[in-house]
Amino acid sequence: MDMTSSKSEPSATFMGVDREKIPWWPTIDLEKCDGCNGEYDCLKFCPHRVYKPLENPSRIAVEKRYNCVVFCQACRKMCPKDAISFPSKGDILKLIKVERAK
Amino acid sequence: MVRKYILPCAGYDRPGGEVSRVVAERLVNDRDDVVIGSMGALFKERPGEMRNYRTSDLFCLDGCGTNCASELVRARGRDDVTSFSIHEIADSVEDLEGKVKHLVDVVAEELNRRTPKTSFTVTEEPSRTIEYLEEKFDKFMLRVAKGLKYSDNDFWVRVEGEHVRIGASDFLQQMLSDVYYVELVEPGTHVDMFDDAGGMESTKILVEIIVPVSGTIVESNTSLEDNPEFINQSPYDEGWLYLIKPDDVDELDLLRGGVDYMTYALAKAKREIGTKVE
Repeated sequence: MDMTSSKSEPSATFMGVDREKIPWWPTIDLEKCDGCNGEYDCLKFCPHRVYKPLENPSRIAVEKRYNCVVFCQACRKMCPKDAISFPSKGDILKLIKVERAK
Repeated sequence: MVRKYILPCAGYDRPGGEVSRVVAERLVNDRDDVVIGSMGALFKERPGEMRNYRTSDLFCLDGCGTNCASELVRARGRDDVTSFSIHEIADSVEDLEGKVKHLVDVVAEELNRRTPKTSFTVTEEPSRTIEYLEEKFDKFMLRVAKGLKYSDNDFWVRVEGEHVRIGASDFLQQMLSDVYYVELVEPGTHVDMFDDAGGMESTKILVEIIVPVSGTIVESNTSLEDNPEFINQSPYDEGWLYLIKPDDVDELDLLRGGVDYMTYALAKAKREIGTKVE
């Protein structure tokens, strides 16, 4: 089930490309994520309101995927369960270059 | 051509004020490099007025001994003003038309004497001359150094011979607020464009340093270990982060120029601030 929503702040672009055309946001491994037992380290850490906490059981979800700063993956490194992953930076850059050339 | 911003005395009901107004009007009719400033707009810091104000050479026509025009200019942060005292220059001339003519000649001579500068807005910092674009937004003054390239992650790149220097933009340091810890990677590290290499921690958040260019780091700014505040105080100079030997300078074409980045940063500032008050 895709729990991310397509909501974002208005009219954002990244490198001249509509932010909503760039598939960069965290993916949560729900097998590993335990919501830090209700502490939600990633939620507290990220100032861009990408995350939304879930309860019973405690898990994290991506709520505003397009708020995620393209190429930032700071939350991945601080996740104690190593439950956060990002797309390949090279692939995303390639895609951005293709979009820019259009 | 650098514009000349002429600020006439606002006491239009007084003799000196009337003369200064007529002189300013005549100069703006005679020349295409003159703009008349408004005491009221400058006092209220209207954006359009401030743009003219910041990007022009300043000339004040003071109608009386209070020197309100010159005083206001200084209060708005400029001390490189040329002031004309209407009384000192024109008191010896009898009639209004005679005063006006004489003053127009004196002021025009000074305007012509100015050597044209190529810059838009020029502010000097102690160790390096950096020219800035400046825009006011909300309570922020955004400064974008000219001649640099900028990534959408808000880092700048300056080409220095065969190397490039990188750092955080003024916009980013303002979003961070006071930085108290900077973690940098060792020289010799190779980074690809948009890799992260260290981070900056402030009282508000921790951000990764997302390098805007591929290459090998040849120097890290170790002075930031003891002086992380350089990031805030001097983002384009002392607060630099890495000196890099770039793999391919053509990569910089993917980044924005200063004017383009200013537009982008202002839009982002608007969104960020909108987010907070939501």
